[in-house]
Amino acid sequence: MIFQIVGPFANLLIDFDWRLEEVFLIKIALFSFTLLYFFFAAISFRHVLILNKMVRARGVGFVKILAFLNLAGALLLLISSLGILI
Amino acid sequence: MQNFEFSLHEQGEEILMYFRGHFATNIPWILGVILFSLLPLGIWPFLRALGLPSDIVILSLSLWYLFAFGVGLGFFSHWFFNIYILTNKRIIDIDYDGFLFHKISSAPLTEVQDISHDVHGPIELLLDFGDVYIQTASESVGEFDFKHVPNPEMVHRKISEAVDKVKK
Repeated sequence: MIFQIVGPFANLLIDFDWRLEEVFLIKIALFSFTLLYFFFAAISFRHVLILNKMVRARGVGFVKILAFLNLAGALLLLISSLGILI
Repeated sequence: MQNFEFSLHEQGEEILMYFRGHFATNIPWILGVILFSLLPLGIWPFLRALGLPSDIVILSLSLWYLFAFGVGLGFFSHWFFNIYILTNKRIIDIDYDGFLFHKISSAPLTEVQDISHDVHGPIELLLDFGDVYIQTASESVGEFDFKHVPNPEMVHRKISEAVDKVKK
C-alpha cells in the first residue's frame, strides 16, 4: 500500500533531470545550512569555553577539544560548500 | 576536593563533593546518534539512483555526519556540564540546557529545609541512580532537583550531614 503511494514520487525523483539550476539550488541550500551550522558550532564552542573557565573538572579539556573539532569541521565544510558553489 | 575547581567559590569554602547524572542516562542519545549515522547507508542506493553530482553527495554526507557529531556533542555537554556541587557552605546547581543557555543556582546550607530522594523504574533500581530533591527557604531558588544522580541514598546522607554540621 505504502509503495503504491510513495512509488510514483520516488520514480519521479529518480527520473528527474538534474539540470544546472536545480543543482545550483541544492548547492545554495547546502551552503546556507553549513553557514547556519557554523554559527551554531561557534556559539557552542564559546559556551564551552565560558563553562571551562567556570568549572575545572576532569574531562573539561576533552569537551573543549570536541567542541573545537566540531567548529573546525564546520569551517572546513563551509569552505568546501563555498568552493562547489562558485 | 582534588580534580575539581569552581570559579564562584567563596572564601573558606570547601567542595565536599560534586556529581552529575548517571552515565547510563546517556545511552538513549548514544543509540539515537548511532541510528542517525546509519541512516545514509540505508538510503545510499536511492541517493546513487538520483544521479546527483558526486561533490554534492560527498558534501551532504559530510554535513550529515558533522551534524550527527554536533548533536552528540550537544547531548554530551548537557550531561557533562549539569553539575551539582555540595560545599561546606552551599549547594550549587549548574544547569546547562542546550548550547545557548546555562543557569547557576546556589543556596546556603542553612536554608535547606528538607531533603528527599526517589528511585523509580527497573533501570534506576538496577543501576542505583535516582532523583534527589532539596527544598530550601530561598525564594529565588525554591527547590533543587538533582536528576538521575548515582547512589541517591549516599547523596541524601552527605547533604543531610553537611546541613546538620552547619546548623549545629
